[in-house]
Amino acid sequence: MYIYLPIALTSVTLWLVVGLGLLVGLLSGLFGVGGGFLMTPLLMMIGIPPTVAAATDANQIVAASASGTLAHWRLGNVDFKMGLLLLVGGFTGGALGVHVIKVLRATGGADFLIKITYVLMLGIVGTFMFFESLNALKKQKAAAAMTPEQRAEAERKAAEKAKAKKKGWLSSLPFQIYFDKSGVTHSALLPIGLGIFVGVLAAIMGVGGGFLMVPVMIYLLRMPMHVVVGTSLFQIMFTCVEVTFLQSYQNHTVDIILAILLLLGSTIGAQIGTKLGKKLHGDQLKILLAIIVLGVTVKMILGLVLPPSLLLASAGGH
Amino acid sequence: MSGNKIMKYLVNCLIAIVACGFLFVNDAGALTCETNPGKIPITLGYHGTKVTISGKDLNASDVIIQIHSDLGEEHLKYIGKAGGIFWMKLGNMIFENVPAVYLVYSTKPIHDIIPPETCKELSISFDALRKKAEIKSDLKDLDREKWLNEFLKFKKDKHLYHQESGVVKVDSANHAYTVTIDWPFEAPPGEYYVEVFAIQDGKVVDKAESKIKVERVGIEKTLSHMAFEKPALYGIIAIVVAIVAGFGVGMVFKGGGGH
Repeated sequence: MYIYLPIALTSVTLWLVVGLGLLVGLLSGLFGVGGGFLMTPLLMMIGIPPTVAAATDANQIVAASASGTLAHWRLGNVDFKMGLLLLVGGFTGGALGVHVIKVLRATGGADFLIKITYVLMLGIVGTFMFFESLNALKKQKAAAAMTPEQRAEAERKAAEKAKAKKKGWLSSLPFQIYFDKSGVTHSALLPIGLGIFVGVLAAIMGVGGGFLMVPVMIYLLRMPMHVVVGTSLFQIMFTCVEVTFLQSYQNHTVDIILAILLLLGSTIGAQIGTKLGKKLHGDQLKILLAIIVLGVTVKMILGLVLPPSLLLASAGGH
Repeated sequence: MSGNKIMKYLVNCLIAIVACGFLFVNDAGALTCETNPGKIPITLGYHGTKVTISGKDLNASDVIIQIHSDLGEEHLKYIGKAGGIFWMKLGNMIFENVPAVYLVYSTKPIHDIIPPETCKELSISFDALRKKAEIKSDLKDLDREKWLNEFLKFKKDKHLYHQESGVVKVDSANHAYTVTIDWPFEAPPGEYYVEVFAIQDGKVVDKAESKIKVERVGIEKTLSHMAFEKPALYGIIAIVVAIVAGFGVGMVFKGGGGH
């Protein structure tokens, strides 16, 4: 069954698009990422113009993240306080990033910066998460083999290490807040600052930034994995609402029919992903996400290094 | 004087009558062209369609049919190696004087039935298109031929340019021709010109024209109109639909996902 897309001006197979939505929604529910870094290239592969693919993707992420946020909120996994502070930073960073791109486009070399930032960020995040999760899984295995005394000693050492970490310069920042859902204390400036950092990168790369925000929450804000996913989805939902409106209003590139087909799949996928996520251990989730991120990085590197079949491309997109 | 005036008037009338007579005689035997359908509606389930182009009063052995949109500009990006390592979009390339859609069908390979020079003269085939096209780019030392080849490759890949021979069937006994083509769904809404050339001994002996109109109807038309004419409302609807769908599915899954 075919559906004609009024803005993309192309015809697509209904089940293929719904299937893509389901797949990306599944990842969204599992890992708390919007899936933009996967969906936009996939849509371009099935013939959607790059500008329409990126804008419509943001629209469907609104649905997937709304569905995922609701599911995680019911499970008590959304830290609204942290999410709002990250959102403030994310919006500010997004505006800054858009300005950076504007300046770079005027001087040339913006596309190069976008591609390189994409590959570097995906590569660094993916590699770090992969090895960190691998180490954690190894430690768990070792812990399982320990006697109760040995385990108690190891836990005491780990607690001391964590305490030492807390005493760093970050704890001396003003506006310290206790985030009860995440069980951490940070200065309000920290999530805002990190939000700005991710916002700038996300705007440069043209994505929602979920795959950057998740590691930032895990490793820098030290939030527990289950709260990270729900909070990230909550933040992504608002970012993508803003992007959808701006893309519709300024560029006329949101294809509502395509978005509806994608969200049919992604909203259901997000629910399944959330349920599946409950059955998996945090480190297993992290290692899976790391593998996907690294896979996309490798695909991007190949795309950059191998000669393309066509030397002309439509304007817009990455 | 008045006699001269009357004489002049009568001569003019006679010329007009003779001219009309010639036109009438010529019209009676002229090549015809019909497209079925003449209007292609873009509905929600649209995936291109079959279009039959046929005509009568053919007094030639071969036929070339070309379908094209108005000539215009195509704004594209050229891909090259950055830093000698990475393939990426490096700059803009504008192709001027080119149609967005160009389809050519013939009874035999075009150059077997008409000389290349005539093709260029009459703007038939990709060769003629190459001749007319102009390229503007920030690329230094632009190789026109190379980039025109790339342009044709790009358009063919998108199914917007196509050339096929041996598909137009000529019925010599009935002086008729016909071809059924797959109209590409990639062709955007608009008006397309159908030009039929009757070829005999390498020369164009007759020509007929028609049009195909591709237009959005129903929900396709409503949504497209709203996206461009009322973008704020369109954006808000897109967001509301997404949030309602997201929460709606979330509610449906409530049973298994509660506390």
